[in-house]
Amino acid sequence: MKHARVIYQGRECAAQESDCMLVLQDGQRVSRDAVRWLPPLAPVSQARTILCLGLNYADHAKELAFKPPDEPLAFLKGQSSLIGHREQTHRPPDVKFMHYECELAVVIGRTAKNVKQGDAYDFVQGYTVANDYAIRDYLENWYRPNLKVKGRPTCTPLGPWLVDAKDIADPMKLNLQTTVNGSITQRGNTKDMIFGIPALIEYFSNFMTLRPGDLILTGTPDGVVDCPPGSVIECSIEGIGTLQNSIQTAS
Amino acid sequence: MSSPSKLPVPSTVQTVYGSTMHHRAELAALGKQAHASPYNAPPKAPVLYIKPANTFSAFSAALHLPAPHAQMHARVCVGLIYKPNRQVAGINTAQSAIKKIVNAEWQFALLCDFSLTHSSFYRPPLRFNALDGSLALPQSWLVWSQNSLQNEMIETWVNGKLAHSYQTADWLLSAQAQLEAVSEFIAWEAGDVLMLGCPPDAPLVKAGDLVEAGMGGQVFTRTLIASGKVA
Repeated sequence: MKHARVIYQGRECAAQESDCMLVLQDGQRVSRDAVRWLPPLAPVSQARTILCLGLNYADHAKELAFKPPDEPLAFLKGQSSLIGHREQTHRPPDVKFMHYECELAVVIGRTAKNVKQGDAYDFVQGYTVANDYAIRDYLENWYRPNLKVKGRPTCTPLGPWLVDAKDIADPMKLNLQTTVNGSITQRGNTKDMIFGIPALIEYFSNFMTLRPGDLILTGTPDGVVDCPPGSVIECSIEGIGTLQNSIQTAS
Repeated sequence: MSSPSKLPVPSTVQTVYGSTMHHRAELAALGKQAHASPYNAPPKAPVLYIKPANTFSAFSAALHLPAPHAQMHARVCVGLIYKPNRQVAGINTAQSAIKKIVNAEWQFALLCDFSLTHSSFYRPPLRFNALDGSLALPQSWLVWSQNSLQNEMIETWVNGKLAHSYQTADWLLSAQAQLEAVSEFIAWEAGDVLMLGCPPDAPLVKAGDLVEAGMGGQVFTRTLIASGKVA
């Protein structure tokens, strides 16, 4: 099942995919173009934790001139950076290099503490697509990658669907790709992650409790390019969905 | 110490951002290192980290050390909270940054941020400062006006003795200026907190210690450091 959260006629509601349409929680069938898309996450009473991986694909680590890390390189971002499918991401006017990062996002479904790799998938609710934009002009060598690069509002589109974990046979074997204005600029496969989903859940849950609704953005492969204003970016992951978004100059 | 005059307790603390390199002693302690590898230059933008919700710890709660003999830095930080009494909606969309800080929309208090000691600020592993229970939340918040926090003594008490103190006048940017600088790239949601800088000589605490954060004779946080790792 593919789940979404949308605003339809001014009201926020849950929805599901059905034959190229959306079925709202009250049973109404509406066109996908008739809604505004939100991140496909149920509301939580306390801000969700958003864990992001840096350099988690061997080829991307090489691209950025780093040796592969020997423990996951993780950073956090705030929930206010998230937006939904078909929204616009703001690019500050002075910026020279702002790039997408297509990532498989894991949504935690159960409270997880001291979980072993072998049990890790039991704690996954489902998967979605994240685009973890970075503005490299702002990169500084303090608490990398600093939040001015990664934590900005509108800079983390998420969606369109939350796909139930049971519908994805092997999340560690999915093709992913990004297009900019229709041209493919990034290709990869989740099998090339340095730390896979079970290893990440074991690692994080060893020192912190993961809660339902928390996110793990698992990193991006090789092939990131600048996205000037007006660009339309589509991040696709096999079986999960295609997240579309465009770049707008920030006012 | 006495209890502070109470405002309504915030519904929920949401995302907590911490500042480093904001108290002048932090960069001073690094000296020339700030210009050398891996930093290459002192920071230009505010240096921030996040304390996720698993770290939140209530007044008088215990913090369980990750190992029996571990020691943790107890950094008492001033925190500013945005719209603390506003009901938090679900996920919203297309958040935008606040252009102007309105003091009346914020309140302040002390928090106590516990972390394992680390000397590198380049890419410190999350496991040093995201441990369960490693952020003591205040029992109450105070009204924030432009005159607040100009020249306050921030105190850390360990087992009833004053263990550390610093002046808010020694921040590189005032609370207002740091909040404005961060607001250029962070969008605030109701309940979000910005913590401000603390000098690097904050005390190390160990199992059995009782740690309190105080200002002006008021106690804001209280944490019991407990031995060992709980399953």
